[in-house]
Amino acid sequence: MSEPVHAHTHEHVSAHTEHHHATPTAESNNWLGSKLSRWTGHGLLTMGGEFFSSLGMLTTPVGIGLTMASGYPGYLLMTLPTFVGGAIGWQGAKNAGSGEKTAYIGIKALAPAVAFMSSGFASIWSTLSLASTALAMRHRS
Amino acid sequence: MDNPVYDFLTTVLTIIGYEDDKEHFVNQFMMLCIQEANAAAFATLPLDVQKQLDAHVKKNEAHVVGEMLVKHITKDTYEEHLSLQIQTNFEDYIETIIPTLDKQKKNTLLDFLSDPDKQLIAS
Repeated sequence: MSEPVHAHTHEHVSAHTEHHHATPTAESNNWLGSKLSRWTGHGLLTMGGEFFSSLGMLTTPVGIGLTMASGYPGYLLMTLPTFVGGAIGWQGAKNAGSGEKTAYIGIKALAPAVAFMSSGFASIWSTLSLASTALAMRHRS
Repeated sequence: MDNPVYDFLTTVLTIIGYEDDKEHFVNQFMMLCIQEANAAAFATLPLDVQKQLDAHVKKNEAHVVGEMLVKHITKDTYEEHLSLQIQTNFEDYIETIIPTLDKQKKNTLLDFLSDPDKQLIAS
């Protein structure tokens, strides 16, 4: 049976055709790009405050997250060290741009993360370590 | 860097032979997880709080928004969300790149994942 190309999006076709030839680097970048694009590809880059209130309960917080991720990632990357003490070595853009206030709201929303990151990722590390072990076991079987 | 998660992810990239900027990749990975954790955490807020949040977002009152979020999202809650996002994304990432690894890299990676604490201490 031939591949139902027409049923796929361009991205899906690319993913299928490149899969067998991808290097670890290319596949890693492709994976990350795909994940990030879910946050940047929703056409929400220009959403304003009214967008938040129009979408209701669930998408309101998601909207904020989207703004943070898609609107001004450089600004976030630049500013995060101030809040997390450079714990994860963020690097970023030099200019905040016109969306500074919105991005700043997003950053302020990270406050719980800041407190958490300052603790050294201990709990996350424990979880990730256990998950990694289980993951390895699955692939060895 | 004194960050076990960061070191862990960087070691994984080294093992698989990632050739681009590892720090950039890890930063982007963590940013992804943070965004998703934020979204998940915000979704747990009471509706009335979200409505108040909307009003302050409209006015760009960042300090108020921040105070509200800190008040309603505890460190423990956020930790749960962020841990879950990191774990989920990491597993998905590993599942994705394993087919691209040769036998030696795959075995090295699985050895590392089987006992990451030991590997990190030894490194």
